[in-house]
Parts: sequence; C-alpha cells; structure tokens
Amino acid sequence: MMKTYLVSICLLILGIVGCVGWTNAPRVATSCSLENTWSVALSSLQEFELRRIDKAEGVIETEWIAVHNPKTVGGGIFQRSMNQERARFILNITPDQQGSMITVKQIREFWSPQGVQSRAWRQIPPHEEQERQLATRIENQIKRQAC
Amino acid sequence: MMGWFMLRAVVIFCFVVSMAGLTNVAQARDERLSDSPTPISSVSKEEIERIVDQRLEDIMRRTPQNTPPTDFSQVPIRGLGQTNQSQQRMQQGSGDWVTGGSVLEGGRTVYAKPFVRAPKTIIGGYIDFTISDCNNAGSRDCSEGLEFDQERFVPFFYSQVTDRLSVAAEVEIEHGGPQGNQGDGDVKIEFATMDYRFEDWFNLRGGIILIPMGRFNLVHDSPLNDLPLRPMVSRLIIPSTFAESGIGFFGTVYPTQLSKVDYEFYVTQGFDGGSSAPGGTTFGEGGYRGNKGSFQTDNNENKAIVSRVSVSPILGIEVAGSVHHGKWDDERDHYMTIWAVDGLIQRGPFELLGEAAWTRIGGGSKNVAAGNGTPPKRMAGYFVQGNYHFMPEILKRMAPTHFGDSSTFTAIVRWGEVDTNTQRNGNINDLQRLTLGINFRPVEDSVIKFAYTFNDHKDNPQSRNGWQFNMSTYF
Repeated sequence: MMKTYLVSICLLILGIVGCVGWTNAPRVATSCSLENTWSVALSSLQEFELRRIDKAEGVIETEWIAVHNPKTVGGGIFQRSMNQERARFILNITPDQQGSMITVKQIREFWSPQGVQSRAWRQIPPHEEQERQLATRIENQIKRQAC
Repeated sequence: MMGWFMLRAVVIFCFVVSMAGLTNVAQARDERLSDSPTPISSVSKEEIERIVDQRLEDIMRRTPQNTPPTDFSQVPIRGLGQTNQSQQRMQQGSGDWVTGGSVLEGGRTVYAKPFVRAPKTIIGGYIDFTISDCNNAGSRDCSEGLEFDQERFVPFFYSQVTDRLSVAAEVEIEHGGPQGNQGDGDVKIEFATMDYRFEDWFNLRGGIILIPMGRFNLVHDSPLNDLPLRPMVSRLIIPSTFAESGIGFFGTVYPTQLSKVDYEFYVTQGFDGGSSAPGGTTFGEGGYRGNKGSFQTDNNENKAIVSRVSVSPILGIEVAGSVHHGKWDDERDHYMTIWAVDGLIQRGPFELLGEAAWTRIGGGSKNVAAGNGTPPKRMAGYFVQGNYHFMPEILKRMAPTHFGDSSTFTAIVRWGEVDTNTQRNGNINDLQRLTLGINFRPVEDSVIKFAYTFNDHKDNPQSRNGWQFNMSTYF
C-alpha cells in the first residue's frame, strides 16, 4: 500500500503549495499617514460590530454579518428560503513607501439545513463586488481627507 | 373607471402577497404598481399607501398572534443556521404559518404540534434512483445484470429550538423499506443530533452522531456526490454511512485571517466486533460494515474516541486527519484503530479530492479465522478524484429553460483501491476501481449522473466492468 502514502503526501504537498498567492483582495493606496488611514478605515466600518481592532498589527475585523444572496437562498426543489450566508470583512492597514495601504478582504460562509450540510458552515468565495464597494467607500473618505 | 378597478386589483393582490408572507408588503406594492400597465397618475401614491395600510391594520387586528416585527437587524448571528436573517424570515412568515393551539376552529387543532406552531423546523430530504449493470457477480456495489434500485429516500429535519439549541436528523429509507415488495429494504436513523452552541469554537453535540472519519462520510448525501457509487474506501474501511451513539464537542477557529480550523471530538459506543475468544464469531475479510455498534447498548462497556481536525489554510484547500479508536471485542481484550487523511483542492473549475484510511485491528492475523475469533489485522484503502466543471454556452442559448445560470456539467475521474487484509494478497476485497463519469446539475441541489467503472478483483481476473446511472435531488 505504498501508493496510499504517496497519495497522502501528494495531497499534503498540493495543499501547502496551493497556499501561496491565491488572494486577490482590492487595495487602496494613499499618501495619508498611517494614523489618518487607520481612522478612516475604522470610521468606514462604523455600522458593523467589530470583533478585532488591533492597531499595532493594523487589523480591523468585523463580526459576522448575515448577508442575503438571492442566488443561494433557496434550497430543494421547492427553492424554499432557508439557506444562509454570512460574511465578515477584514481590513489590513499597512505602511508603504508612499504613505499607507488598506487591503479589503471578505470571508464568506454558507450554511444549509439540508441533510449533512446542516452540520457546519462552509467557506465559499467572497463577494468581490462587496469588497470593491467597501474599498471604494474607504477611498472616497480618504480623498476627503486631502492628505 | 377601468384604471380604478385595476388599481384595486393591484392593492388586493398586495394584501394577498403580504398574507402569504412571500414578500414584504411595501416591496410588493412598489413592484406591482410599477409593473401595472394601467396609468395610475389619477390616484396619489399616498392614497394607495393609506388604503393598503388600512387593510393591513384590519388584518392584524383579526390575528392578534401576529406580534409586530422586532428589529432583528441588531440580533447577533447565532450558531448553526440561526442568523438575524432567518429570524426576519420567520417573523415575516408568521402571518401565514398555520398556528394551532390557540386556534381551535376549523379542525386546526390537528396542527397544534410544536413543529407547526413554531415556524422553526425545516423538513426536507433527498431521493435517489440508480440503474446499474456490471459484468458477472461480485463487483462492489454494482450487481450483475441490469437492475433498477430506488436506493435511498431520506427525509431530514432541522429545528432551531432556541438561539443556541438545534436538532438535525436524517431518516434513511433504503430500497423501499422493510415492508417493500420483497422486504429487502430497511429504515434507520442516519444521524440525529442535538447541538448546543456556546461559541463558534466550542459546541456540544449529542445523539446519533455522523462519525467524522474522512471527508466523504460527512458529505455522503447522494445529491452532493458527483458519481453514482461511493468510493470503496468509504464503504469498507470507513463504513459509510458511519454513525454511532455518542457525545462530544465540535467547533471552528480562525487562527489567521484567511485560515480556518474545524475540529470534532466525540466519545462513542464504538464497534461491536463480536468475540475474539477461541470459537467466537467475528468479522473476516468481508470487513466490519456489519459490526457498527448498537445505538443503545455497548458490547464491551468500552467507549471509543473519534476525532477529526481539518485545516483550511485558504479558501479552496482543506487537509484533514481523523482517528477512531476503541475496543472492538466482547471480551474487551483488543483495540481497533482507524486512521484517515483526506484533502480537497478547488481552483476555478477544477477540483482534486482524495481520502485514505488504514485500520489496525488488535487480535487480528493475516490468517483470518472469523469463526474462531480472529479478524484480519490490517486493512487499508484510498481514492483520488478529479472533477472538472463546465457549461457550454451554446446549450444555455439553445435551451435556456434547461440550462440556467446555476446549471453545470462535471466530468469526473476517480481511482480507488481497497484491501481488507493487506497481509494476504488476493482476498475477496482486494480491489481496484477506475471510474469515468459525467453528471449534469440543472441546479446545485439536483444531479443526473452516469459513470463507467473498470473493476479489478485480485482474487479473480474475470471482468466485472459495468455502468451506473443515478439521479438524485434534495427536496
């Protein structure tokens, strides 16, 4: 059963290799100071409940937000409204040569009460338009700062 | 005059829609009015709103159980399945749910059951149907000759009892059930659990638990699987559907911004492998599918532990390890341990998944003597599977009612091996299988599958190749 070990190792290697560079989150670059950018980022999330505000690490994370997705909300042949999605945003505020940079990332999960799917939330791709919308909102607020 | 009648019709339609709880009244009103082919400029919007609101008030007065909606926008998201959205939906739908108990007229008392009174239980299920035809007898899960098999009809229930307590269950009716024409089916609980949620990272689960051994056992519903047959390793080494009576914990942690770790840990009844004493009866090279433990009693009063930890460093990648360990024999002399690793990689339309499992059985031997208390010592198996999802645009253009935005085809190739006595070549379950398949999902929840399997049995070179067709859907 040497093959079983080989398969396991292949899966592990592919998993590790696949970890690299698969993100494509929108970014907002600004000449504003890190302090200003941090304030703007924080204020841009004012309507969300926050689970993490770590200024030293430059990270702001929102709590889970229930999100509506008409494409997935229905389940079964009757397309009953029962599936759910939730999302949270993560902002990374980092210094760069020109000033500072904000990266906007959404984590999104799907849950269905159908059969075995009811046992856990599972991760699904982020809603890129929502990521861009938040990035645009931040960008507009930063422009108003006129750094 | 005609316009007025049309307007009234529109308003009344809004009431009906609102009563049906299908949508929110204001939204329906706006949509219907804007879609109306009749000019409505002669009546002000305020007047329409006043009429609608007046009718709504009348209706609400007649049904006092419809309490005004709470502002759920501030309700934090609870655990499995309980979000503020679901609460809003329930609240919006409350005017339409049949409410027994306090409503005694019209024979409605027959509905005075908790599952109807409180709109918090979801009932659904899945069904599948398989046609198979393999050459000669003995191919795993594919019989000789053309056969029709209504294999599984599985109602499921999900109930959010409180914000923190939920119940989920599947009842499996196989092959028409035990009262089928030939009495060759059965009915059983696939899993039935109560979950009490503390936090995302720590929750309590008790009941008949779907054992977290490998990935396939946890996603075994027919509509979720791309091929008609289950992997052999998930039949013989991990005896899927594998459930045991037990209790334990599960949860999810997010160690970094993009990574996710899920864990499950349970104490369960464990296997009932029979007797390991001389002259005792236990399992042989056929495997231990028939030796899953009772949901009620324990043959050896020794509990098993089972755990699975899965790591997803980034979306689209998951690697997991799992273990099941406990004494199997009546005499409490020997342990059996099953190890499994599984992985999944998704990238665009491509998926690669696989699972491997090994069993080590204390008291076993390469020279199996099931009638004398000696099972095999080692078993193992694995599968790897590649999927490619595609949808030809030409089909969407030619037949848009059949091929929608959520429709997809999937081409599948799976290779699997299993061996229920790795120390002896040529036993009856020393098998290899290559499967080529294709399926079509009109929607995500429904699938029509076709596959051809090339089966290689080490104990007999006779051809056992054959094809399988399966259709299955959630409902």
